[in-house]
Amino acid sequence: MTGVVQLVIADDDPDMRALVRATLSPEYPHAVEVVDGRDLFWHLVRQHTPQDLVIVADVKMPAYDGLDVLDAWQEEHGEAPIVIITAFPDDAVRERVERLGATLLPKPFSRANLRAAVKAAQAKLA
Amino acid sequence: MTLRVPTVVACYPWPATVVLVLLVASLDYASGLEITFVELMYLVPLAFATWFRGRSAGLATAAAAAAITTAITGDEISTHAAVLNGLGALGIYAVFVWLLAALQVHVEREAERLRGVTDQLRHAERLNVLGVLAAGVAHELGTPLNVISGAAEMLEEDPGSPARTRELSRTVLNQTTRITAIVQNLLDFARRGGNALTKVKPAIELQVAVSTAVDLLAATARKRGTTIELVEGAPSLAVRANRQEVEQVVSNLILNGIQAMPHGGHVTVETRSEQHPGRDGRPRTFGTIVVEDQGRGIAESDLPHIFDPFFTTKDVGEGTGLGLSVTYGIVTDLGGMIDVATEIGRGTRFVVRLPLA
Repeated sequence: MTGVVQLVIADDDPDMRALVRATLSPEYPHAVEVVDGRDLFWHLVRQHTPQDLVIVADVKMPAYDGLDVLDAWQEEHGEAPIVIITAFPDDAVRERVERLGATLLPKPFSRANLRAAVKAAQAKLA
Repeated sequence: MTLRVPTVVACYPWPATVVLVLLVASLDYASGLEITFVELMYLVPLAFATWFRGRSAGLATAAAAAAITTAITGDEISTHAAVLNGLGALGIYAVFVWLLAALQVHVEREAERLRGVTDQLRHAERLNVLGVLAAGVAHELGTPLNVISGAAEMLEEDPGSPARTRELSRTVLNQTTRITAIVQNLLDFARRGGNALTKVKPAIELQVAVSTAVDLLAATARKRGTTIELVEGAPSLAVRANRQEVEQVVSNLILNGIQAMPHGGHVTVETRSEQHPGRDGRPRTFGTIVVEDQGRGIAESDLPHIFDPFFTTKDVGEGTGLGLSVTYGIVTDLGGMIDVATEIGRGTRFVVRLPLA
């Protein structure tokens, strides 16, 4: 690791972002919130070191789909720990998350599960 | 108001038949020997009796008509000729009755089948519309549910929260968990529409899925003072299905059985192979699962609705009203059928038939 790990929270709902931020703030005090797929894309493109990131992203967001963005970005820049949060995922979403190498966390989740999912996502890359 | 002849005959087949036979008999008598077509007119009451009262009624009428015509002609020609004439008429009448009865049975069966198909289509259509709606609503509910439960969790975990706040937060959390379960159920149900029949399902051992479901619910049954008895009547039954689907079908039915017996009792689960008419009316071999309880039974007025989504007679918190509609969806997707027989105060028996692989 080259520096402080940054938590990227991508969800179009401000309350949801606040919840994720509050839950993970003890472990990840440096958090950035993005509100849609485009925002997420530009933030990630500016950030060249996936190793310094932990990403918690929704799938259905305005502009671009979270999975599409992460898929494209990972291809260019390498893998980051990703937790995909989405409501009642179907088989197609599960499959795509799997291919992405990310960890799936269906909404609604408990705070303990969110912490566990972030750990699991990091363990995948360790 | 107009009274149409067929309606009258349908309502009073026997009086109509007798009146017509007597009418034809008097015509027969009055017309004398020269006019022979009158004997053919007996075919009209014969047809009525056969159509509305079946083959035996038709044959009885045929015998009566033949006897009458023999008696009438016996006055004018030799007994020998009259009897011969009567027997000939009886033969023709009998063939007519036999053909008409066969036709009637066929028409009846066809009408029954059409009614069944129409009912199934109507049901499928309703489920389909509901499925699309359910999927959309469920998806939108995820985030708000999560925000509510997350906030409640934070309040509960906050050491600064008063005890009352923590207690109420727990209530909020419990209720969001319940909503989540309902929405998940609804979605399972909605998603049944998409993957039906399109994927080739693996062949699985029916008994394995059934006994897994029985094992899963044994503890629940015990807690409620009930027992589950598994009866296996066939050595091995392979059906094409996902194991989880069959387990879900069986556990839904067992759970309903358990819940229908607040004062305890047995749920009997039986698997066997059997010959039964399929959905197309042709007989074929099915892997049959019978789930029978000794519960309160289903009211006649509720019976047509038990497979409708959200229909429930259970107490709040006991059921979402989706168990049986999911069950129905799975069974029909697998090309199977589900039947129910119930008696108030005695119990209910569900019979699921899945086509063998």
